[in-house]
Amino acid sequence: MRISKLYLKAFGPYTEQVIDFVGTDASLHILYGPNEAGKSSLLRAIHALFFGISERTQDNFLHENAVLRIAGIVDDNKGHQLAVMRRKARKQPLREWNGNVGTDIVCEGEPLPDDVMSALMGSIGEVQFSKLFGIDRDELIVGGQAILEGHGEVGESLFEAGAGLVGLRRLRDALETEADALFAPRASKPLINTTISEYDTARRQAKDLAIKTEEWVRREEVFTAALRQLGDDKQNLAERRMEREKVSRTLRNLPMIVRREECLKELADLVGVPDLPLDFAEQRVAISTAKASAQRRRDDSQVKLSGLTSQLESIEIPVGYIERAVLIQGVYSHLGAFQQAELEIPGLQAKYQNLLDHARAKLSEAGLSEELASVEKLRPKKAGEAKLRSLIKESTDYLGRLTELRRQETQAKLALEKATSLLSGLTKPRDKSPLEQAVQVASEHAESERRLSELESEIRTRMEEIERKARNLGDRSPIELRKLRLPSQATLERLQLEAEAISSDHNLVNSHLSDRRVDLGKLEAENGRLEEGGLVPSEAELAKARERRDHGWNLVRQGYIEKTRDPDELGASFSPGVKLFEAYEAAVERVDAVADGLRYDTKRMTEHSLVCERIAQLSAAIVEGQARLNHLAVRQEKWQGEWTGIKISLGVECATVRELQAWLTDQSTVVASVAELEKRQREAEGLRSGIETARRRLLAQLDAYGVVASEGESLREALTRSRRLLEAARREEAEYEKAKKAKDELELSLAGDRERLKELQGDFQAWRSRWRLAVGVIGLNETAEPADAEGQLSLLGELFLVIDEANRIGRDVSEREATIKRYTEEVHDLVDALGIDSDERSPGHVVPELFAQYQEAQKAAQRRKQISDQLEAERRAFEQADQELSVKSGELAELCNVAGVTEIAGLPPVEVRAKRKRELTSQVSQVERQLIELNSTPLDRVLEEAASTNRDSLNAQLPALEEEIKEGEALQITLAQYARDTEVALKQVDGSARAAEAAQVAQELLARLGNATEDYVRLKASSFVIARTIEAYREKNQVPLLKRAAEYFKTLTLGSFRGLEADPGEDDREVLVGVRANRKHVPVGGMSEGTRDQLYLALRLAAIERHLETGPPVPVIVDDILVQFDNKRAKAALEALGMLAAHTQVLVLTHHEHLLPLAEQATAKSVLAIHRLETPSLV
Amino acid sequence: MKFLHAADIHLDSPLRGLDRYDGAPADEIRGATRKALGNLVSLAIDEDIDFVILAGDLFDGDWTDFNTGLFFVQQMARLGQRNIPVYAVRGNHDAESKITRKLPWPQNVHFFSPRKPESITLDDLDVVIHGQSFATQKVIDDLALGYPAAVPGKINIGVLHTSLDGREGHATYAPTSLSVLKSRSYDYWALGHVHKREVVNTGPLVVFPGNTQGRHIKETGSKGCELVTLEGGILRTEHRSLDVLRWHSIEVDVEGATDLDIVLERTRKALRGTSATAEDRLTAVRVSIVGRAGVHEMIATHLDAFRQQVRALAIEVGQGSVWVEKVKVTTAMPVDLVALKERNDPLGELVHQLEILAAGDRQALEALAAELQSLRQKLPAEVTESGEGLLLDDPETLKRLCASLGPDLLSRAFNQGPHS
Repeated sequence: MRISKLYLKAFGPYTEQVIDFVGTDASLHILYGPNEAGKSSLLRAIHALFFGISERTQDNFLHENAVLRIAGIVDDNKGHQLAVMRRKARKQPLREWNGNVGTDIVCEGEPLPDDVMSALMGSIGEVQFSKLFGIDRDELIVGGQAILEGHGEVGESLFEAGAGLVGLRRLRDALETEADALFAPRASKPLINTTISEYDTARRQAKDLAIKTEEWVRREEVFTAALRQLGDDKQNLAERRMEREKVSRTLRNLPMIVRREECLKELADLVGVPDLPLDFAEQRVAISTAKASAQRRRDDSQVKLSGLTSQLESIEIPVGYIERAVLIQGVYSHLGAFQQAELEIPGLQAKYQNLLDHARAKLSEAGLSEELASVEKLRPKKAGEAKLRSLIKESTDYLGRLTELRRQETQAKLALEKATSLLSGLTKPRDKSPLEQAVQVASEHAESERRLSELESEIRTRMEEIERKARNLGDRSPIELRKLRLPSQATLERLQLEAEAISSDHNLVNSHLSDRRVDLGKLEAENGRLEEGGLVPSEAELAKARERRDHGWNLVRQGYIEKTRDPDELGASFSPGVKLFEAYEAAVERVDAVADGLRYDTKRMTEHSLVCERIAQLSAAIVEGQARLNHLAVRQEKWQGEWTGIKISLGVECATVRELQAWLTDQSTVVASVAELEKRQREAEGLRSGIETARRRLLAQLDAYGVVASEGESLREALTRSRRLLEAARREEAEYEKAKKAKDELELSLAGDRERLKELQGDFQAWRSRWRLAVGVIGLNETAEPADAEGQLSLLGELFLVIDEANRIGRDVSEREATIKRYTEEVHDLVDALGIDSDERSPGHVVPELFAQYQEAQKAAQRRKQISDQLEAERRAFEQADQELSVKSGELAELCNVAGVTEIAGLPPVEVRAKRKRELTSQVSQVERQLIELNSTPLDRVLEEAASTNRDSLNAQLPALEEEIKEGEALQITLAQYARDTEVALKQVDGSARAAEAAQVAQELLARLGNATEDYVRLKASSFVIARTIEAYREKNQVPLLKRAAEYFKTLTLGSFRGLEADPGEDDREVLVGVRANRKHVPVGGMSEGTRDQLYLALRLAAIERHLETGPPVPVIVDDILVQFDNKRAKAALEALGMLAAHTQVLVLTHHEHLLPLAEQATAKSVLAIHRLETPSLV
Repeated sequence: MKFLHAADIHLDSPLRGLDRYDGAPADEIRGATRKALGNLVSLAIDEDIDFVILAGDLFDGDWTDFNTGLFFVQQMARLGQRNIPVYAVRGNHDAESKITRKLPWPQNVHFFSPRKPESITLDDLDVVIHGQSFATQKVIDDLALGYPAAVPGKINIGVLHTSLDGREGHATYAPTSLSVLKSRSYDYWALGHVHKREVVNTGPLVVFPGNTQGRHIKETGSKGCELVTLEGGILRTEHRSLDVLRWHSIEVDVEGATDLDIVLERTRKALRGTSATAEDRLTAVRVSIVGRAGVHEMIATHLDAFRQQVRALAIEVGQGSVWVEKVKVTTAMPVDLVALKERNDPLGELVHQLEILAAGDRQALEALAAELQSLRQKLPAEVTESGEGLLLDDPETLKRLCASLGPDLLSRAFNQGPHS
């Protein structure tokens, strides 16, 4: 690949700078920039052309990013040229460059693929391009330095120079250093080393913290055992303590137990002595004393009894008086009443006779003939008298009421007669309901009359309006309008849109077509211009020419070489009139001419082909436009047909669819108005017929009512007349009804009066029969008036008052006579009973004597009773004393029995022994109670316990027990502590996560270790690979490279060194040495710095040359490496570069003008081209 | 009726692969498996369930700390206080574990016999649970074959620790097949052993609930248990999360990125996505950066700094709840290595050499292994056994390593010299 032309249109300090590499065969180009900045920008521009303008470019200080442009033409390795323009853009940064140069001229064409430039470099990226094919001053210095550092190690030096990757050693060192920072076998600081150690620690910790199952089981067993031991010891201690208690208890109880035993022993001697009560002796003395006293009282009582018995026998009482005491006292008390009655009887008898005489006188006064004895039947009864008086009162009532009733009857008769005559003067009313109904119906229709008149007026107005509108729509009647068949709104809308679309498409196509035609004209002119300059070659033409040439060659071979056919014959067919070989030569020349044209007239060809292609495109577009116009015409025609059809069918003349739409709107309004009008007419007709029917019906009713009607009368007039008629009829009817009602009421009232009169007369007849009976009883007949009856009643009352008084006096006399008789008989009976001779004496004498005798007998009886009572009391006292005596004797006998003796005298000694026994028993129980209280235990257990001990050794046992207990207590403390310790150990295993956490930490360290190991391995492997690569490269390339490098080195050192060789160095490695003209070997360390730079350059140039042997040619860009060189060396360097230029294009960038003549001296003119760049404007 | 089905609790099993750094939630992840177990118990209490089924592997078999067992017992006792019984089988880990055998298990925990299948009838629930424990660590018989037929008229539940017909990453224990399980006519198979949740079958339900807490980057996503409910005579199961720390693996594609800021922005976005799906949990995230991008050079040459930046991002995004497990950079340079290799220059040679190693050249790999020997001897066995490709004397491992070196090495090489 070679660069043919560079065009720095706008980049860095450059504007419209063109560097043309064509037009010379030179391959070594010195690009002279006027200063450092210009040169650096140029270098960047070349890079940018191939790989793009850097995102953060520094070359936009003069031209803005948007306008930065670098263009170039490069020859690829296959004979093609590529003209590109690069701009700074993310999308489509590359376009075709049409070769134009200039600020106001179009330079750019169609976009090109992004990688079209970098593809020319093959597999080489930007970095590689600059490393492999770029050489600068810094590289030389560093390269020389690197060779020194590597002691001229052949592989390294070759590799570094070959790849331009100066500092490979440093890279390896860096890799190793990084690796060492991660791990070193015998160090402790590097990451991997420390992590391994930390990991071991963490893992150990996890293991230490983990409690193994066996360990937990063991701890649990130990804890259980400790608890058991503690329990055993506790029980033993408790037993010792109980033993100690027992011994000291027994020591305390012993004296009491001994005392008890002594008492029991004495008691054994007193067996058989009865257990006498505590007061036995006192009882005995008391009983003896009581017995003696009873004996004494018995004897005294016996004497008194005999005295009283003799007194009683001496008293006497009279017989019969005491028994009749009640009779005697009764007779004595009634004696006064007897004597009173004897005195009153004569006076009472005289009064009785007087009253009888008075009664007889009254009887005669009443006109009655009866005797006194039978007069009783006339005594008036209380009920009869009251009834008589009531009848008298009733007679007055009846008479009054009869008179009143008769008066009322007469009045009623008169009123009835008057009312009957009034009614007969009035007429009976007739039925008026049919007329009322007819009026009702007529009223409803009368309202419609007004509505009808309104409607008729409205109909007239509307009809006029419709006719006016219809005239405006083409002088047609509304009916005709309604009958029209109309197109739909959608159809019209579609027609309108279609018309608009056709029109707009037409405009558009026409406009495009005219533009295209103008463009075509221009292009044809351009083509003419291009073709004026002669044939414009093209690839197609070349192919055609080649085909003709090949065909010619075929004929030549047949005609001249193989001689199978006649050349002239062939020539005639190939090219008439010309000899075959001449025609063939012409064909060959034609091929060359076309090929040359293709190569050298690229620009014209490019333009021509572009123009031709564009013309073809435009022509096609114009044809297509025409076709579209034709198509539009067809559409227009179709549209017109449809439009005309619609207009004819409607008979309307409209210019546009919109107009027709407006006409249709008006038409539809008229049609709608006609429909509305017809609706109104129908309504009016309905109203008229209703009104007429109602009028006829009403007139018919009036006729029936006898009112003459006029035929022409309107509904409203007939209605008014009917209403008046109805009003009069209603008034007459009310009057008649009122009179009839009054007459009916009077008739009813008269009938009532007559009924009541008849009833009252019946009642009065009944009263008369009752009156007859009532006056008969008091001795009057029925003719007696009420006043007669009242006088008779009063006289009878007085008579019976006298009779009643006489009867009462008669009864008093009889009673007194009976009393005297009864008393006398009673006294006689009593005297006879007592056997006393009364000599018929009056009771007034006998009764007082009798009463005195009775009082005597009563006194004697009282005395006798007194003596008897005393005797009885004394008898009871005797019996009591006798009984006590026998009781006491029995008691004494019982005491003897209890004490077990026969004689009372034997009792005292027994009493003494019994007392002693009681005292001993008491002592024993007292001791026993004490023992129970002290020990709080049943006695038998206390005694048993005492019996089981050896009383003699008790005192000695106690201290030994105390000692045992003390030891036991100490052991308890120790064992409890132990149990607690084992429990803590067990509880320490509490499910904690410490071991797990340590394991987690270990895992984290393991992860770190893994990551670091991976990094380490990559570093080591990288270093390893580099070493291998260097060695491999050396093996393959050492011989040819060193050979070629030696030549360069010789040139560069102006022959100071004749070559280069590889000598064995340390570690069996080969090292570079320079070979002096005198064959002396100079190691790199022995070379001057400049020489080492030259050595590096020699290796570098040789490597590039070798690279170019296999890869496509790539320009080498040398950036100002000659600055430090003196003129001789610079010249030598330029010569060396000239050698390289034989293999590929070499661009040397410099801003040192003095190098230019040196270059001219150092290289052949055909090789070298010097390009002076204009001083860029920095403003 | 409802119950919980959990398995593979692996109590106190450490979380692996988390390299601690400042800002990582180291304290928060402590005891994650314990908290997950606590969550299980709390869920059982909150949901007022009828019983709990544990389908094996309560502890890591080689874990010896008895404290772990006691913690388990304490948690089971919490269930006991609520009268919630626990029916468990011993899995391969439990059979190996001494802890399981010696623990003072509370009354409410029942372990199925290892000698033969055992059936427990829960009369009040009309449920029969069939199960058999592992007698030894390595059970290779089909235990399911010995399980009794379903009891008619009851809900039959089979509890089994099994690898079924094989699951990737899980050793084969008590192998069986779905058809064998189905042949028992049970209503629910409560399986254990496989750490990834899987509803193997829906009629009847055959379910691996997965483990209760993910422990390394291969156990990603939600971890927990099954809440199984009987509704209208039909058993339904739903997964309930119990995990404390959730593992995620995210891939950040930086294709075409030329700027580190773009890479970091894409990483930030990916981390946000993770943080959002973690249900407020702690997360451990592996960040893999992939794609061909110009920015590769920048990352590869400052890898450590880049890792720090990603960690800082995680701290910012997760506010202390995200732990960056690893930053894996497998980006490539936008360079055509194939074309490069064809060239007869040093870079071509470098690519060629890498290829030789990546192709497994025995001699070359042995030479490299020799370089690494001193490290290998020092490293604890666990590092190389961790399955993360650190078998330093294994030619395959080294081969893979060398195959991935190219981009980094070229980047480093280009960054040397006067132009860098």
